[in-house]
Amino acid sequence: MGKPGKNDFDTIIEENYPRLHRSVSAYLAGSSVEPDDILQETFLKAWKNISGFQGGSGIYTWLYSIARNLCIDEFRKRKHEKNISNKPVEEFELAWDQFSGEDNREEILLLRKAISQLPELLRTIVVLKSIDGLTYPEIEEITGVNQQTLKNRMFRARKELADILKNMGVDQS
Amino acid sequence: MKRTELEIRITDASDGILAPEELRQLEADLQAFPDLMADYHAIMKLPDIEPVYPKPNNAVFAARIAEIRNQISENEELSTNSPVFYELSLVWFKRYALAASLMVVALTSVFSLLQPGPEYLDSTVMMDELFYPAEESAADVYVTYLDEFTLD
Repeated sequence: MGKPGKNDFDTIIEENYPRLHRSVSAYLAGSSVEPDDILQETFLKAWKNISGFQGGSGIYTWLYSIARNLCIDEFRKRKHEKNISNKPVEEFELAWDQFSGEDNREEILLLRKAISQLPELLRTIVVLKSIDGLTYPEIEEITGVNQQTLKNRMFRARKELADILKNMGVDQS
Repeated sequence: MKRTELEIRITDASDGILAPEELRQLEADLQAFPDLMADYHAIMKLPDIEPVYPKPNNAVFAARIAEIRNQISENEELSTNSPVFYELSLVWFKRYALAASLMVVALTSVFSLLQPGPEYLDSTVMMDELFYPAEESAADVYVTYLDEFTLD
């Protein structure tokens, strides 16, 4: 697809909503911000500003940048809601979850909780790289951070994740 | 070798992009940094987190997608039915409001920095002369004027 216009928007929503919802859900896990609200605002904002989309970056990374900025704005508005780590693991369950067993469910929810405890800068990279499967150049487009720094942050994120899981008593052997 | 370079290579290793030979070289280099070696082992043991968030079925979001489409249609109608209002409120205002407010601030600062006008200077000089007269005769007039009032 070349540079899309407003007429292409139906297809853009159809193709990107589920993937974006999954990523934003992972990014917002544990917070009280609703992914559905963020995505609704994201697509409306994207529709209004589609003429400003340069077409050089992918439409998905452009949409993700809008969604991430909206999330950060929301976090700023809700500064008082800091302690997301105390939420019980059950609250990390999603509407479309299908677990194969109780052990599997428990482990997945603990992993989600561990990811949610990472600082925003590190969580963004983990979600984009390990969950969404974006490349470092694509993550650079979204965050504006160069690839060397991103890899360095990825090291810190994984190190911190390993520590969190160890403290939670999750067996990593 | 610097720690930061090793950290980046550990990331490459955990991303699975290092060849076996490069992996062996990394482990050899890490011998000089026991703490990084421990981090390397902990990171390599991390479970794959990609399946932690399953890929949802598109049908799950059909209602939400329809809702967004409706909102976009409403916005589209608004912008086609009243283009003048739309342009004025969303485009024009956003574009020029900041420029206009900056201009007001700049103009106010310029006016406040301007020297006082000649009328102001004249009246100030007259008052100064009245109290601290430069000529003797003027002081006499002032004293006479005061005497007239106090004697009454």
